[in-house]
Amino acid sequence: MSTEPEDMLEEALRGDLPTPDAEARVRRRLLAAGVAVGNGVATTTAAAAGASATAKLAGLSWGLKLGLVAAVAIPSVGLLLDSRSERSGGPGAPQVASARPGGARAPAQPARPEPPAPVELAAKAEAEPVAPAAERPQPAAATKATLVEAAAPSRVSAPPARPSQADFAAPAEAAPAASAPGSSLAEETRLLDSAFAALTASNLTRAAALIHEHETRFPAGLLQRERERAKTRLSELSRGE
Amino acid sequence: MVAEALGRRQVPPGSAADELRGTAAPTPDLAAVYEAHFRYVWRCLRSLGVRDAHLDDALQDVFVVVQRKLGEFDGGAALRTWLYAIALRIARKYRERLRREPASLEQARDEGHDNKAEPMTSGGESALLSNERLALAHAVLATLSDEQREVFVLARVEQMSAPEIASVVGVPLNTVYSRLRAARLAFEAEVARRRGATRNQP
Repeated sequence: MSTEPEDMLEEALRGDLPTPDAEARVRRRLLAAGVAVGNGVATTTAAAAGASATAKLAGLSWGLKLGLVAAVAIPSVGLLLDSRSERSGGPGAPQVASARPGGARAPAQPARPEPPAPVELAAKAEAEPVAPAAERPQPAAATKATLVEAAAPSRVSAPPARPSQADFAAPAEAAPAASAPGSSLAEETRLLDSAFAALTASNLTRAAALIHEHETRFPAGLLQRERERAKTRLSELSRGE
Repeated sequence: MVAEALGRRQVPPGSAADELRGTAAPTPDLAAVYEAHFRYVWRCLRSLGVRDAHLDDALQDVFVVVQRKLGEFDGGAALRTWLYAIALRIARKYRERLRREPASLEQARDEGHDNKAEPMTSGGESALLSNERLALAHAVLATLSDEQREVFVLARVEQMSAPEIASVVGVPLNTVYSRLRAARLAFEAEVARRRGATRNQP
């Protein structure tokens, strides 16, 4: 490998930007994690939805379901239905949840308000839990012990990110998927999105009301899993975990 | 595209282009923040030593924090500065994790997390050259100390001003200058060393 002048290397670093595929992959993952980053740019994958999309919907992840809502509402957005590159977050995905240098396991902690200004962030640099478990709407299997994952049960996108064949075949969810109109799914999404937002804001009363409303209106809805996840999180927060 | 218009390195940091700055505008929308800054957070994390296999995880961590704290963002600093402060701390944790658990990288690769984050380059020979330069640049960066690397990346790659860097890193301004000076010397020395090594190859 030949070496280059320093400024050319710096230029190379400045030009190091993600590919559209990488952007799309991360966006899907963030949506699956409940991070409302929007639907982004239109892609050419809208057609990939196809006729089988509805049948598959029941087994798809939270983010993919959100994506389908977007695809229904905004025809140009089919990003999340890209059947090509759905990627698993994996059970071993690291968690950035604890800044303790020791990296010892600690119980999940609820979010606590912290000043956002950079200077203050800097002042708290090493001691601040940057992504407490309260931010993760999906408690799941424990991951490997690492510094960053110590305080959180799992990365939210891990299990739902890659639907299995078994998920696709799940009859309990396939039935409502086939009959649920887009408007119902949108409403389900709105309710649970609000519920997760309320959980994040530690507004347990509102979260409980929204979850209950979803359960009442959509007992066999497409987003049952997400509702159960929200209920789990609610009970954890109610216990002060 | 918003991301094309905002946050480009040619745009002076904290300038009018950083239109999401807080004082005049209400709390910025997360989706807009993401559109405007995602690519630069991605670049920053990579330059700060987050490995490709961990990059998606790190990005998720950054934007989970952003989502949680965006409502508290008071416009006291440029949004870009605020974002990089978060990204910097996430990157530190991933570097630390890698030191403590080198096997975690292999594990992430085994689990399919190796994204092969390829830079956006045009095809052909120029792409190969660009990739080669980029690989060399990352290799040289890896020889810097963490403190030097952070300051160097924020200054030379992200084009931040020294006061902004001081705010992001959380050190006095003079410390920024001294670290940057040392980082540049170290960077140049490492490039020269590698150049000499290449010349001496039979």
